[in-house]
Formats: sequence, C-alpha cells, structure tokens
Amino acid sequence: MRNVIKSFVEFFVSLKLTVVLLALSALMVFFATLDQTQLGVWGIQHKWFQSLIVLQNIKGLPIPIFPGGYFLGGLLLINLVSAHIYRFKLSWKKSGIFITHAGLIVLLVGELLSGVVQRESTMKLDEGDTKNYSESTHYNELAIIDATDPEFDNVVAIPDALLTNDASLQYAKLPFRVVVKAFYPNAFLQMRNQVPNAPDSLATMGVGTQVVATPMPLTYKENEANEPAAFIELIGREGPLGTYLVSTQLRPQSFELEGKKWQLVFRPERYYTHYTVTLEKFSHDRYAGTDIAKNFSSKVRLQTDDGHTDREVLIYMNNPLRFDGLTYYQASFDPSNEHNTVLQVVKNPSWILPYVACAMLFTGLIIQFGISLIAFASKRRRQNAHA
Amino acid sequence: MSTHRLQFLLATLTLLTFAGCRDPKITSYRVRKEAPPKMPLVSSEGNAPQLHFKAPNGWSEQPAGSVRVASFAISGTDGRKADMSVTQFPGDVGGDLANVNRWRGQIQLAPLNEADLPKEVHEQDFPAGHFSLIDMVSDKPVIEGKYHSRILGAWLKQPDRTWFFKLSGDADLVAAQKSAFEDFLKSLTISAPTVTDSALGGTTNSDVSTSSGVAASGADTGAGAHTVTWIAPTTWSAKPLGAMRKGSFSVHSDGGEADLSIISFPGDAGGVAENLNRWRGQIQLATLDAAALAASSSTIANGNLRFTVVDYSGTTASGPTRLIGAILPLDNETYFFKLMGPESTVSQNKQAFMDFLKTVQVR
Amino acid sequence: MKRVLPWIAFVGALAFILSGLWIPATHSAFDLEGFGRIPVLVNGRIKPLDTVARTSLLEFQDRQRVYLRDQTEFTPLEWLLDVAFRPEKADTYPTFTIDNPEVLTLIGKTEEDLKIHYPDTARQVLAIFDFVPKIDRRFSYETIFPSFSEIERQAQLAQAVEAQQRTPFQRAVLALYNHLVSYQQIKYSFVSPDTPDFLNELRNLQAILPKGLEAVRAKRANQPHDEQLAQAMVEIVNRFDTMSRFGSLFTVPPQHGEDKAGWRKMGQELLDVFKTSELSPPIQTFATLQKAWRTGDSDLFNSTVARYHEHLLGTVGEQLKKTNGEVRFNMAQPFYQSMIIYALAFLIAIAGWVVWPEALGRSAFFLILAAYLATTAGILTRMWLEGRPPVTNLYSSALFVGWVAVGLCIILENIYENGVGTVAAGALGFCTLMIAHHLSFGGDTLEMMRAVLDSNFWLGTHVVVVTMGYGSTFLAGFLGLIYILMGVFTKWLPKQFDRRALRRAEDSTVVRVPFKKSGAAQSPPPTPSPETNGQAIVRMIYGIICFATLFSLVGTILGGIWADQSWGRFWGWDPKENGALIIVIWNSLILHARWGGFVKARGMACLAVFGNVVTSWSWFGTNMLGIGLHSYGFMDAAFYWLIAFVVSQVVIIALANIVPLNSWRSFRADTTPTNPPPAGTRAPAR
Repeated sequence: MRNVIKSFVEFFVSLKLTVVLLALSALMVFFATLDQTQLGVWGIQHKWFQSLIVLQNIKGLPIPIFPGGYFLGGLLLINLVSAHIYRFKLSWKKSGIFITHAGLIVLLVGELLSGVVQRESTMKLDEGDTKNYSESTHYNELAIIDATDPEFDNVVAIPDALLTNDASLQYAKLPFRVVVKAFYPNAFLQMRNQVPNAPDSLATMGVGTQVVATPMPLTYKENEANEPAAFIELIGREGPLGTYLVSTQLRPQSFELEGKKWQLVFRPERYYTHYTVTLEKFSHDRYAGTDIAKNFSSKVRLQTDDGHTDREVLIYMNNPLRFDGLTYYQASFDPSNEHNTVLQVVKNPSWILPYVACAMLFTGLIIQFGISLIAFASKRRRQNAHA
Repeated sequence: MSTHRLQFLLATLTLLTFAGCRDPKITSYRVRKEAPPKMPLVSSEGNAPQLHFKAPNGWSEQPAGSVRVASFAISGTDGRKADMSVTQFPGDVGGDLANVNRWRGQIQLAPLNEADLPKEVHEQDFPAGHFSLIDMVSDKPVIEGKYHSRILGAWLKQPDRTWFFKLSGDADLVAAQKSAFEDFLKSLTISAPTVTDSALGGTTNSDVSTSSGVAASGADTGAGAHTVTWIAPTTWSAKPLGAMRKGSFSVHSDGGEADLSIISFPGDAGGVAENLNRWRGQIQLATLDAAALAASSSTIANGNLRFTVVDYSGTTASGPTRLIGAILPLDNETYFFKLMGPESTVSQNKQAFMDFLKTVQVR
Repeated sequence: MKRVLPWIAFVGALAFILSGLWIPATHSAFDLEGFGRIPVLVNGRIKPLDTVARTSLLEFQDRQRVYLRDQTEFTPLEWLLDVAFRPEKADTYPTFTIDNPEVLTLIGKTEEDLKIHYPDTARQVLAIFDFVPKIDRRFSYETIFPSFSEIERQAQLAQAVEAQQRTPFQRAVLALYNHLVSYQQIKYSFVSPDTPDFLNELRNLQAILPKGLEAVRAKRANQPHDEQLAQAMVEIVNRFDTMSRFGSLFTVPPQHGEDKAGWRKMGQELLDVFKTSELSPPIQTFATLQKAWRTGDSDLFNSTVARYHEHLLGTVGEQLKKTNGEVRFNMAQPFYQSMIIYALAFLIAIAGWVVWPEALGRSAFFLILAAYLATTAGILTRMWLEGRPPVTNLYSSALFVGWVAVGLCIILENIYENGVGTVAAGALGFCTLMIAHHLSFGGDTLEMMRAVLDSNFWLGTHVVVVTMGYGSTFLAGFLGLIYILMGVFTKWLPKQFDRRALRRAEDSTVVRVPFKKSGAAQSPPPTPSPETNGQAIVRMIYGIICFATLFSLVGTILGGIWADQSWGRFWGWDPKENGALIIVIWNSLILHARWGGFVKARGMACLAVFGNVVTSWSWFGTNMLGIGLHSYGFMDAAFYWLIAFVVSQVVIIALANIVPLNSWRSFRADTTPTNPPPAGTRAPAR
C-alpha cells in the first residue's frame, strides 16, 4: 500500500510529467487554434479550454479526442505545487525558480478565476441616450415584466439556459407557470403570409400567430449572431393563458391579467447598475484622406441614482473608465451613422492577478538567468585565464 | 506528511474547479421604465437634402437633435418661452389629420374629424413650396396650470418626405411671433449641393445668414453630381455597402435570399446594350444583338427619368436564377438597379421592385 | 595580411552599401531627384513622390525598375513622370504582373503566346530550369485594358466572397483590378490626363472665365446666353470634379502649417480656379512640368522644380526634412544591399572553416558588422520617418527579427570566436531580409497604424520584446541545424577550435597586459583542453533558449496587459496569442527536458530545430488563418514557402535521429579530433 502511494506521489512530482504535460499543452493550443476557423473564439474556449476532455462530433457521436484545458492545466498546477512541496528546498540559488513558479501559479489560478467570475457585456448608446444597464453578447434572457406601475417595471428574468424543451418554470413573483413548448437556439422568422403551406403556429396569442419560426443551425462566424426563439405557454390559476412566440428578433408583447399589465420580451441578458451612462458626444477621427480609423472616443456623463456622482468622462482607446467594480472600454461603433458608440463593459474582480503574476515571473526569470549568466561568464573567464 | 498536504491540495483544487461553474437561476428586480426607442428612418439616401433659412431676430439656435433638423428657443418677458422645431420624416407620416391631431393632443385639445380639417388648415405658397398652416390655442391653461399654450404649425409635403415646422409655447408669445414665423417659412430653401452650383457661383442659393444650417460649398467633400434617393420596402433588409455599391439590400424568402444592388458608374459605362449583355452573362444567358436586346427590354417612366427594365431567367451554380434589372442613364453617370436571386424569391418581389423604382428621385 | 584583410572587407562593404546614396540611378538632364522630393499625402501619410513611384511599381510588378521588351529601362521616377504627364506612353510599358493562368486567359493570352524565344541556346537551356524567365509575366495597361470590364465584373464577384474563402483566381483578379484602378487614379492626381497641353488650356480658361461665369448665370436665370460657352464651362467643371473624385494622391499642400487635413487633391484645387481666377503655384507647377516633360525641355523642368521647392519651404517646410530624408533612404536601399553582404559573409565564413580560418573568419565577421550597422541605421531611419517604435507591421517585424538574431550572433561570435556566430548571422540576416523584401510587394511599408494599435508605448514594449523572442528562438534553431548538419556530414564537431587560443599561440612573442582581475601576473600551469565546437554550440543553444524563454514570456505577458488595458481581457485565445503561448511552452519544455536530463546534445539540437517550426507557425501561419485580431498580413505564395520550410526542418530532425549517433561523421570511432591544443606553447596568462 505504501508503495502504491509512493509511486502515485512520485508520478505527480516528476519532471517527466512536466515535460509531457508541456508538450500536450502545446499541441492542445495548436489544435484549438486550427479549430477556431470553424468554431470561433467562444466555441473553442468551451470545447478545448474550459473542459476536462475535448469531445469531437464524429458522425453524430461525441468522441473524446484530447485532454481538455482544465485537465492539463489542473495537472500542471498539481505537478508544480507538489514538486515544490515535495522536492525543492529553499535556497538562494533556486530562488529565481521559486519566484518564477510562484508567479506561474498565480497566473494560472488567476486565469481560472477570471474564466469563472469575469463577465463581459456591451453597452450601445446613440448620442443623447441614457442607459443604466449593459447587455451580454452571449447569454439571453426571457424577461417577464409587470409594467403596471407607471414609473417602475418589476422584471423577472429567466436565463435562456433554463429554457429547455418541455421545461416548466415557476417563480414566486409570477402568477402563472411558464412552460417551454419549443426552444430554438437559432431561428429564422418570416411573416406567415409569405410562406405558402406553413404548418400551424404553436402560438395562440401575440405576434407569434402571424409568424413562422424555422429552426436553423448555430452559426459560429464572428460577425453573425444566433437569434434564438421559443414558444412558451403561460398557465395561470384557472388554466392556460395562451402560447406566445418570443425571440430576440421580436419587440415586447403585452397582455393583461387580473388588472395588471404584463410584457414578454426575449432579449440579451441585462446587467443593471445603480448609475446611468449618457453618451454626450462620439468623435471619430480618420487619417486625412483615408478611411482608416485614427482614434475614436466617447464623452459620457456618469450619474448615480443617489446624486452623489455626476460628472463627464472621456473614454477612448487604451483609456477605459473604471467605476464601481466595472470597467468601460471604447470598443467600436455602428458604422451606419457616426453618432453612436459601443462600449465594452467588463466585470473582473480578479483583474489584478495577472499583473502580480507578471511581476513575479519577470523577477524570477531575471534572477535565475542572471545567476546562470554570471556563473557562465566567470567560468569563461577562468577558462580563458588558464589558456 | 507531504502526501497529506498533497491530498489536501488536490481536494481544494477540485472544489475550486466545480464551485466556479455557472449556475443559471431566475432572478427578479425592479427598475425604472425606459424611454421608448427612437423612430428609425427607413429610407436609404445618398446625401440628405439641406435646409437653408434666415432665422428671425430673437430666435436663438439650439443644437439639432437626432430627429430635429433645426431648433430654436424664443424667450419673452416674465420668463415666457416658446420653442421652434423643424423636423422631417419620410413619407407622409400618416397624413394631415393624424399630424394635426397629434399636435392637438400635445396641448390637450380634442381631436378634429376629417370634415372639420379644411376649416382649420389654410394653404399658402412660399418659395420653397406649397405649405399647409394651422394655428391652435389650448382651451385649458396647460402651462404650469396658469398659461395657455399655442401651436403655430406648418408642413411641406415633398414626394418622398414631409417637413414639419412647429412653433409652440406660451400663447401670447407665440401669437407675437406669427409674422416672424411666416418670414422664416418665406426664407426657406431646400436643396442638395451640386458641384456645378457651388463651383460656378454661390449666388444661385438664397442668402445664407450665419445661423443657417449647412453651407452649400460641397466641393471639398467631392459630392457626386447627383443625389439619388429611394424608399425601400420594410421587408428588404439593408446590407452594408460594398466597395462599389450605393445601396445594397437583401431580400428574404423561403426560396432563398436575393440580392438587390444599386451601383453607379461614371459616363455611360459602356452603353445599355453592353451592360444588358453583361447581366445576361451573369446568369449564363447568351449575348444578344442590339435588336434582340431592344425587344427584350421595356422602358418605364418616372417623372422625367427613363428606366430601361429587363427581366431575365437563367441559371447560376446555385440553380435557376432570375434577374430583374433597371438601367437609369443620367447626364454624367449611369445607375444600375439589379435584383438577382432564386427564381421564386425574385418573382415574389417583382412588384415590390417596380414600386421601388417609382420611389427613385434624382436631384 | 590577415590583420588588414578584415578591415578592407569592412570598409569595402560599407562603401558598397552606401553607394546607392551617391551614385545616381540614371543619368538624365532632368532633375529627377528634385521631382522625387516633392511631398504628397497618400493613405494618411506625407511621403515623397519617390516613394510613391517605387512602392506603386513594387505593388504592380514586384520590381522597382521598368524594363521594356527592347531592353530599355526606366527608373521609378521616370515611370511616374510618364504616368502623370505622358500617359499614352506609360500605358505601353509592361508594368502589371499576372501569374495566374486563369487571369491570363481572361485577357486573352495563353502560356504559349507568352513564351520568350531566346535567340541563343545558352539562354534557352537556362530557361528550362527557370534561371531566366520562361514566359512574359508583365503586361502593359494597353494590353489589358480591352478586357477591363470583364476584369471588373470578376473582381466584383470576387469582392462579394469573404477574404479567406477566395480561390487563387479570385485573389489574383481582385489584385489586378485594384492595381489597374490605382494606376488610373495616379493619372488623375497631377493634371487632366486627356489634355496634351494643360497649361495652355488653363491659361485659356483664365481668359474666358468672367464671360463664362456670366453665361452660366444667365442660363440659370433663363436669360439669353452663349450656350456654347456655358456648356464648355460645365464640361470643364465636370472634368475637374472627376479629377477630385478619382485622384488618389493629395498633391496640393496646405497654405500654412502641418495640419494634414489641409492637403487637397489637384481636382479640388482646380475647382477653386473658378472662384479665384488664379492659378495657384501647385497648379502652375505641375502643368508646366507636363509641358516641360512632353517637350523634353529639361531647363524648364529643372527651374520649375527648384521654384516649387522654394514655395514648399514656405508652406510645409517642417515636413520637408522627413520627406527629403526618406528620398535618401530610398536611394540607399540599405536592406537590399545588406542582404547581399550577409550572403557574402555566410559563404566566406563557411570557407573559413576549411582554409585560412583566421583571415577569412575575421573578414566574414567584419562584413557582418558592416551589414549590421547598415540595417541598424535603416531601422533607426524608419523609426524616425514613422515616429514609431521599430515594429509596426509584418515587414518591420521581419527586419527586427533579423536584427535581433544577428545582434545575438555577434555577441556569440565575440565570446566563442569559432565562426559559428558569423555563419549564423549571415544565414539569418540574409533569410530575414529576403522575407522582408518579399513582404514589401504589398505596398508602402511605412503605413499608418489603426486606432486600436495606436499606442507607442505598447508597440515599443510588447511588440519589440515578442519579436526579440522570435528572433532568438530562430537563432537557437539555426544553431541546432548547424550542430546536426555539421555533426552528421563533417568532422567538425569534436574539433577543439578556439581561435582566440590559436591566435594567442601564434602571437606568443607579443606581451599582453595581464588580466586585471586576479592582479597576479603569474598564471597556473595550462589546464586541459577547452571545449569542442560541439560542446560550444550546445552551450550556445542553451544560453539562447534561456534568453528566448525570458523574452517570449515577458513579451506575451505584455501583450496580455495591453489587451487588458484596451478591451478588458487579459487573454483572448487569439491565434497569434496562442502562437506566442506555444513558443513559450516549447522553450520552457526544452529547458525542463534538459534539467531533467531527458535530452543530451543531440536532443537539445533537435528540440531547438523544432522551435523553428513553432516560431514560423506563430509568425506567419497564424496570419494565414485569416481570423482574429491579428490577421493583418495575407499572403499566397508564402504558404508554400512555409510548408517547404517546415518540411525541411522536420527532415533534418528525422535525419538526426535516424542516423545513430556513432554513425555521425563527427562521432565515428575513427575520427580523432584534429588540432589538439599544443601543450606548452600558450602565451602567458592574460
């Protein structure tokens, strides 16, 4: 038994494992890069890096073809940490390596944390627009809004991950159940009168009765977005209230129930803040006589709900706005007119870790190679002295 | 001893990995209502027409907004205020009655019916065109509960758009500005900048005072000799313009997607015959001689514009393809409108294409 | 002799490189250089006409000089002058390269039509092996123009397809179309192209202008007017307007100051004539130059150019410093000349391993130094011209990779003095400059940076450091190649060849100052042999890999920080980021393998050679994928070169492993190391 444990431990601390894992990691990154032409950046992240095993669809069957990022990264981390604990004795000579490896650990852990807690979204503003939310680029939500109050909306947001076929969802604030009759991750909508021989619509209320929704395969192209759609049935206390078609391509649909006004809308997931951002002016400079963008910048006004903050900020390339745990970057703009901006909003509490890691890595490597270089130089000098 | 630490570490790491997985949950929150989205402008244009005017004394120009073409603020004694706005929308925005009632609603007046409309509206001609004017006073004190509100409104209908001029605010102040309002309307000119105009003399435009909109010397921008505008059906989705396209649409149907392109070439671009044969070649049809081409095409008139229209059926690599095209020769350039795509899609949209041609305007 | 030869080589090389600066490209009565120094604004950058001429020709025909069928040749400036002022002649020069056979068919030519029939058998034979061109690849505008509408149609179709999905035909036809359009646009940038005597026409216009404007006004007001005159006015306006729309060069400088937005096209300036009735200096200058060039009046040409330069001094004098510098830089062509010197040095250094090691080896080293000075000067000049750190696009990255690699080689050679550094420097310098030369066919290499890349700080840190990482990994790989090839095929590896020691041995009569460190004048008795060449190379590889690991890791991390500052994401799994990551992983793998004792000398060399494959993937392969934030360099033939390179490296690695170590020529049992250190003949210790 002790021998089993010993060989187990020796496996994890061995340098051979490190070399093998490094080689496999290099291969994994290479294959993932090739796969990117098919799947796009997000696709490969989910398939290759944020997984334990990489599954490839061969003739409909998912076949494991390669260890995934979590597996290799995790093993490398274990290998690194255990080797240090088990083998290395603290000494000045090896201090460079210690610091380097420590930096590496911080980097890996930091990236792991980022992958988990980081949240990216965008905020699109026309000049004069004010918004207090940003929208996700990958996740959508079904928002069921109680719009009775003239000033406030009470929103119940259901993430699209929960909208699987035949799901039945219940929530305390809703006086009805939501049953998903059909969910299409990407759908093509057309007016019924333009589609001859269309099958009867699943929808019984709202716009959906006039629309034909055709499911389409997911697209991974960078400049195309998937437009999901779903047929959802609302079942109240006394029975079904009707089936609606909701989609990111449709405007909000309203209905009344027991004196309350409700709205249904399927939209990108929203992240609200307690402050508003208003776009006052968007500037776009080009190089003289060309269309090449020289710089673009957005002058925005930041106002908190409690009135404590009300100031103007200029956001431009390489100069983001950091406020309240979120960072606003000048990402791009809609080229159809020159009076709008698209800001990238990033929430990443672990943002400082890569910087710390870099400092450690750099210091560690300099120390280690510095020691080697000095040793080499003095040996050379001694050699030449003897010649 | 070290193996224990190892196991501990292993456990922590595994926990970390799984703890971080996204767990979708239903959430609820309360937010302030949003402002309604702005009305989108449907038509696609080459250059927008420019408005020139002479602003009366006492009207201080405000920055134009996303919908307002021009905006003025007028102040009177005792803090009284009036606001002058100039807006334009494509088409006729619902018609005279709807717009008048919209304004009436803004000062809490009951809506008119069709029969009463001619009594309230009076028509007048100004240099810029034929205007309809209306003068309405609120019957309740709607400003701060004390003062009445008045709207002096005018609108000018053009083939593809309607211009609205609205002076609204304190009733007495607005009444005092009535002649200034009419002077303003008199001073209006609406035109598109042409190179010949600007190069050969700015005197052809009316006096441009310092508060005018945009100067007409478009020579630096190299504006085209013609401004051609059109209105596309809402079912056609606009595509980003390519390198040579002035307009680009994608027409969907269950038969597949068809492409509508609007391209302009200088001069006669080789002549109508050569271009018709070029189109024929694109759908693998044989070239025809001049007589046969003339027989295959028809001419459509739209005002003083003459389109040569053809309808060809051929094939491409993706199957049976139909091409409906129109060639519009202008004095120093030629416009090509081409709808090409799967047979069913194009045939379904043929009427829409013909209607589309009728909306084409050249300045 | 061997002391003097290296210095002769050094001076000779420098003279060769600088020759471009003072030997004129052609003898002409016309002040071509003065014309070339006239600045214009193109693509957002102010550059001299000399650059416009050279880069346009490089784009159209991969070559700067224009050669006619009857062997007459023109310099780029002469070509530009013909395009601007004598377009009917320029249209007959074969300046458009077409390689794609389908495009050739499009213009009605088959390969048979184009076969060059050499009169003498010698060249016929050479043609079979492609040492001289087999077919005509370059065509004139005149020849191509009849098929223009068809080319345009095909180009429009190709344009609609996404860039990375285009077939070779589509790419070729689109490229040809763009070249033809660029060519036409140059014609519209100076004078009205369809008028042989534009100056005269302008003078006439001035004369009739008042009456003409009257006629137009009258016509507008529907009053009686001179119809012909009015028509003529409108026609002229339309012509000037066409020029302002189609011209691509902003030829007219602003009245005062450095604001780039003040530059205008000739067409716009001409339209102003209607307002001012005056012919401004730029209009007069170019119209006069047309007259002078067409009539062959070199005196008029030269005086006009001189006067225009005075006018420019008064308006854009600040810019002239840089544009004049750029013209001299173009003339010097430091990179092309250095490329030749590097190749020469490589050959001489290899020869130096066989005979006269001292003389040839040091001469080769000095040649390298000369070329290195020239490339450094070239890179610094580019930095000055652009106002940017050294690496801003693929072209400059190639230059910089070479510069780093050669720099490291010089250090290595200084330490080891066994010729390895020189050989490596020659080969790497030549290859990188050759790659850069081919990259220059894409157009002007001093281009403006896009908004997202517009940050001198990050360009100076991340990009430079990462490129140093690339350069050093290539160097390690090349050293690995030397190890394997010399080991398998020659007896060189076990030689204990330390030139410094040999030199000291031969100069035993010269008293050397004792090495200060120990302070003692006496030395201990000579110790056993210094390392062999093989050992030296392995040590070099190790040291360079350490350097490469450090720089590629730091560079990659700096890139992550830049991304984090710019768009909030430290690591985006972009192909280029991934490529850099693979390089870092590979370099650290080599180090770990060595520390674990899993590889010895041969293994190190093989791993280092594979590093070449990894780096070339990261540098070029990722660009060819055409996706992600880094896809800014798309090449076609480059793909095949990349594959060929990768295959060659893999073959060499296979060779090293298939041939057993004791069968390597260097390690065979019968091979005894030559040149054993002569005992007791060493000079007193330094």
